[in-house]
Amino acid sequence: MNGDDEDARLVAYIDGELDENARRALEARLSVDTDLRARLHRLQDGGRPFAPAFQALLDEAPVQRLQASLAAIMAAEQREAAPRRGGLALSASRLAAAAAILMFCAGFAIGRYAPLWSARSPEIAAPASDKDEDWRQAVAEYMGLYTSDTFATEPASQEKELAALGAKLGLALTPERVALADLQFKGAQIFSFQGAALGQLGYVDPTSGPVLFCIIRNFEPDAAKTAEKRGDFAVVSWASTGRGYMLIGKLPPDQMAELANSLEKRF
Amino acid sequence: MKASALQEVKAGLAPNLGRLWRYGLVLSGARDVADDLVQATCLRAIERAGQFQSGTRLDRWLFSILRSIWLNELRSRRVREGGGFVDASEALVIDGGREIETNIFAAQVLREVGGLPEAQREAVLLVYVEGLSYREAAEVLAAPIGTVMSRLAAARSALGKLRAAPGS
Repeated sequence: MNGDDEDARLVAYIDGELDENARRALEARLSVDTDLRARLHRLQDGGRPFAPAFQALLDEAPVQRLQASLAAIMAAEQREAAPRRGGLALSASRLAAAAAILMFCAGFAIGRYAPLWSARSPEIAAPASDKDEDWRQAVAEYMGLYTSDTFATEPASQEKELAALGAKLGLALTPERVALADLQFKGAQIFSFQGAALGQLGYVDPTSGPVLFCIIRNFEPDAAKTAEKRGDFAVVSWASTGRGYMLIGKLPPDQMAELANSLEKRF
Repeated sequence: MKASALQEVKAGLAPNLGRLWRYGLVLSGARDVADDLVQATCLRAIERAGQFQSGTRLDRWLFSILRSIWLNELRSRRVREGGGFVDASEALVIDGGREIETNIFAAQVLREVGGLPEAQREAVLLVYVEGLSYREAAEVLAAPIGTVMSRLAAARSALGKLRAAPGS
């Protein structure tokens, strides 16, 4: 047996991984072989209180950030799960693309390191560099994934959902406060963008499809309403009391402006 | 995909995030890469939930996925992009000085382990920190038990020499 094998056997002995016969045989040799005993002692000296030392690293894991990231992945998977019930297989690449887009909203990969999926999802462009601008662009990009089917199931309790989102945003959100004429409210979701809570209220318009009203608590300066087009979507955005607001959908611009006016009065 | 396996995997991800991140840090020596490894592992685990065998240890399965992503995707890219390898003896340090008094010994152990080659750091983490048996560690590493033993022996031998000649 060469020295390395010998060391391996001795470590297994220290770790209690030798079976009974091997252990007895080794102990018999140790009792007569001083060199072997010296080797054993050196390997024993290589022991450390590894577990408590590594506990310190566990304490430093960014668990909150990782949980938010996991929530984004789960949300993407949920969106994929709905068509799957209709008999379609889960498409890994679609899930990855959806998750990557949600990641942009969650802001984990931004400005640090290209996301893992970027190579496989070239259609997902990096958002503009201006920080206050980024979140609107990110929403405009992932909005492309939404359809009326996205909101096919009724949420368990809209009051609870809104209250939870309101707590994140520092707003008292109720079904009345967020109701929009002619649009059906379909539920609230919480995202995070570069550490700021990003709430998304989803609606369906019977003719044009989904409409999102997004609120981010990012302490950006107050700004008057501006209307613009982003891709196929009409967008109206403004900021007040440390929060950015954005309404996005495919309704005609005048209807979007009307809805935005109505919302602005309430926030 | 079996719905029960997917549910089991999804429910089991959150409790394992911290340990996955630590494994990612021990492998890569870089916190940002550890973040990415955990995200990619969660995504891959959900995609492949159908391959998870109900009743087996989910954390072991997740470790295998994370390791495979590191070896097959991230490590090579890091080298290709010229990021090279962080000196893990620098990376496995505890942030900040807030608990320096209580952590000084832990920091010393982490520095010593950080100075070991990647394969040895990994074996130490799996067996001595995560408490895997040699057989379980061999399964995560997709290697024979003898490989686990020889890596642990090399690690202990190196650490034993440090104790014999402190400061060298």
